[in-house]
Amino acid sequence: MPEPWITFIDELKDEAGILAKNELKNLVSDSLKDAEEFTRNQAQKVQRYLNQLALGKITKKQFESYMVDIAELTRMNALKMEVAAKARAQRLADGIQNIILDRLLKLIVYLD
Amino acid sequence: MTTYRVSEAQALFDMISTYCLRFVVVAMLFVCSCSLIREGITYYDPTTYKNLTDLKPEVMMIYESFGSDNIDSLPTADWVRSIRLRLAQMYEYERGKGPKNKETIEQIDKIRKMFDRHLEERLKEGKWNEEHLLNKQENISEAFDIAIQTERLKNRNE
Repeated sequence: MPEPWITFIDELKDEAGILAKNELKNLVSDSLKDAEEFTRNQAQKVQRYLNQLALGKITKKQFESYMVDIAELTRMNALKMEVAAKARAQRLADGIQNIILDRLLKLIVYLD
Repeated sequence: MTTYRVSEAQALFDMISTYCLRFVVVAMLFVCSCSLIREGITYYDPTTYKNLTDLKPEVMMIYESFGSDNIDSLPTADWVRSIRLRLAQMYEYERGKGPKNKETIEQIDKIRKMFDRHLEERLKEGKWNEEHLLNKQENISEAFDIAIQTERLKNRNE
């Protein structure tokens, strides 16, 4: 028994070929298997929203608004990853200065 | 005798190359990390953390009222105004820290705009049903969580 959203997508009339149905299905199923937890969570949400849309529990406008939310959350998560990389670099630079340059090299001179 | 001298020179050469290699690796790590933090990053700020963790549950609560109350009349209208003011104050506080804080500035701006967009939708489309309320609460809550986690990732200025 396929998920309601898959039946909903398959039954959509698309004579002009606007939507690549398989592409959408692959996007969701690939994202559900992504290595990143954040991506998997967002894919689960997209799947849930599509099911809610298929079952008439939410409107097209509400669905559209969720997609904007997910796009914004993804950008926020990218910013979080940038901060994580910068914080690691800052720790490394501080460590090199405090431990290696200030202490280790002084010790090596002392040994000479 | 000659063999001994050659192996001694070889050992000396190996020792020098090992030290040079170590120095080069350390220098490269230093240069890489310096280039990553050239733009800089602010340290962890307990005020930012408190502002975010205080406001998040309040926003969650006001979203619950979006399913029932009239938000364009008192007292909810006042509550909405007070939250919008606090979000604006938070944004100005973060902006005041300068360009080194650009990630957090953008995150707070996104939370503020998400709240305003949700509010506008609520005013236009009327009361939220249960599914919509839970979906919207989940997304705004996640936005706050990402900003809170980001602040916690920053190093402490010790």
